[in-house]
Amino acid sequence: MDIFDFDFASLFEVSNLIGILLGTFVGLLIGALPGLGATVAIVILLPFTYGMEPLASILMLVAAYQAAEYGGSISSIILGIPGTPAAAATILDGNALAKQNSPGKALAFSLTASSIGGLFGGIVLLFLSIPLASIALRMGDPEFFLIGILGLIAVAGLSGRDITRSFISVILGLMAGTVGTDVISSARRFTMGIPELFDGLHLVAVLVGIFAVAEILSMISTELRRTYIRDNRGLSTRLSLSEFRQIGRATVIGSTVGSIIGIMPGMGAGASAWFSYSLARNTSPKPETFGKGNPEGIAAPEAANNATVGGALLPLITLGIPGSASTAIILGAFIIHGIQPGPSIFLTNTDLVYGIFYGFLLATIAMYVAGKLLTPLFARVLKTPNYLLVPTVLTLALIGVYASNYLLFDLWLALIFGIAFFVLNKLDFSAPAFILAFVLSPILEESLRRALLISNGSYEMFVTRGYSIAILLLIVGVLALSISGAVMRSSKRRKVARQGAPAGSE
Amino acid sequence: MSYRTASFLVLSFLAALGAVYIWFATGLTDSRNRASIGPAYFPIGLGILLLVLCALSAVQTVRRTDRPDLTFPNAGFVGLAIVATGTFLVAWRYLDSFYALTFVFAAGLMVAFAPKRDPKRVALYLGLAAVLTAVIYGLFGVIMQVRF
Repeated sequence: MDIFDFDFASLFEVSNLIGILLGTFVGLLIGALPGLGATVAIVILLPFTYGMEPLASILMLVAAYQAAEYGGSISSIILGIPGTPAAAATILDGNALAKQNSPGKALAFSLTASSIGGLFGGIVLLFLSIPLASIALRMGDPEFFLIGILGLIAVAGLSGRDITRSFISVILGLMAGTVGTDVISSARRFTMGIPELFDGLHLVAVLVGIFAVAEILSMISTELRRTYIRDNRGLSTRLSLSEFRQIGRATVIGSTVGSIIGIMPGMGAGASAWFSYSLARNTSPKPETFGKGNPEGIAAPEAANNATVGGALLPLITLGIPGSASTAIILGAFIIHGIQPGPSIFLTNTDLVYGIFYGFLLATIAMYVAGKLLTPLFARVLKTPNYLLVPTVLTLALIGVYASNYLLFDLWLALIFGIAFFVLNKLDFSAPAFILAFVLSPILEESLRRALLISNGSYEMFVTRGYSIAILLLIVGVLALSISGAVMRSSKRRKVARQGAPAGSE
Repeated sequence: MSYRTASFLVLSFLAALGAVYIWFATGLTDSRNRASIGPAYFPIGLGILLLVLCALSAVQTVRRTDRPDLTFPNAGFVGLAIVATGTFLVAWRYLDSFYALTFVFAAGLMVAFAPKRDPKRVALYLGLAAVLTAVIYGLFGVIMQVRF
């Protein structure tokens, strides 16, 4: 089927529209709240996908992902506190412009750039997916195993603070993924005779535990009594044509960089936002105005973090390999509906795939409209004190877990994972690396074992096939980058420690 | 507790977990007995990797020159949230009044976490908890038809 042969009327079915609107609303709301990002928004919505049609449920999560990236800029601009890690770069110029009595203008620049970035990412997703899937169709189990390994190494090596502990998190995630009935041999592994574990650790329980419960405990620990003061005036997000022209160059930079970085596993929206900001500043005729309320300093990172969403969905849909925690959760939604993303999805679920692509563009437009209408409302939500927010989110998260599987056992699981990651996060272990590994574990193990069964236990096929060699070279490159980054960080830390030590102590 | 001590404790626990995991994995067999690529193959590899990485991380922790502290601000409130959640789950299991329990859980946490607890504010928190319970009833109980 050609990309334009899609039945567009099916996209406008009530269930799809409700999914998009609900996802957009929750994404904007959760994204706007400081400390809760796109991942939490998707996790909270995941239990609802059980009772929905596959397309409506995926569009809801994608819309939440997209909207949370813009929502994060609301608190960055108004409070000077990033709503999401990816919106940190927006603070520099966004908050500065807001302080010049123009919070509405700053939000308008952010919304416009986010929407254009989102559309750009969606178009990249639409046009690059088929060429990439065609390449993927020529790959076999060894390549899919190596792509999974590449994704895990990239996430652990490039996004964590402590590379060894990020890799430990990957191993723990893979181990957690082995709990349950082995699909190849039907052997029950690590279930300790508990029937609730025969189907493995429940995805929603683990996700809510790690991203919602741990996050809530962290908020209780550090930000329980924090109150945010903000001004309600000047929140209209209207932009004139000349103001729109002001951000054209930065929006193009952000959209391009965001889409490219989104495709790469492990980099994420945060990296793309900072990279775009630097590029926009360094190529600007007036770089000295950055950090003082320059609209380009808002447009570049905001276009980038939204363009990243479309880019990040590309490897998920075409290869079946997520490159971040958020896309790993969206993969979970596919699995819940018995659909395995990958190159063959274009043959088996054509309508679903094109529905996601065009629905993604529709979700971006919904984000723009909702942003125009509701930004002042979400700005008011920022005033909600954390001591009221925490019990609300905790209660909803727990009940969401129960609603997804009707098992109290899963609630205990979520609580245990939440407590564990509350501590592990403080010790520089990586929750995104764990969750990505947990979701990928069955795919990786099956690919590895099938490849080894075919080759009679020989690893030769991992190093003799063209695509395998290319992926292995990429793995070596990412590992080298990760290790050099870790060495640089370590020497910098030692230097700081030496400077801080009293004279003569060495 | 120092970051270093906490690191050693956690790494020791994870190494022990890895050892137990390998021990369980060695007992796994494939009834069809197809070569050596059975259900234990992948887990044993993971267990060994975990032990190696824990040892490496422990060495790196020893070699770290900085000595940061691991702090848990508001530990009492964190503990309260965990205990309250555990109690809520136990009560949910044994008492047949889910919505009342949800109201008590949410209201209890709101009141406990609030900086000021004069009667007017407490009434406000109880009202908010009631609204939250009503939303849960509408969303989960009526629309999604979840039976608690």
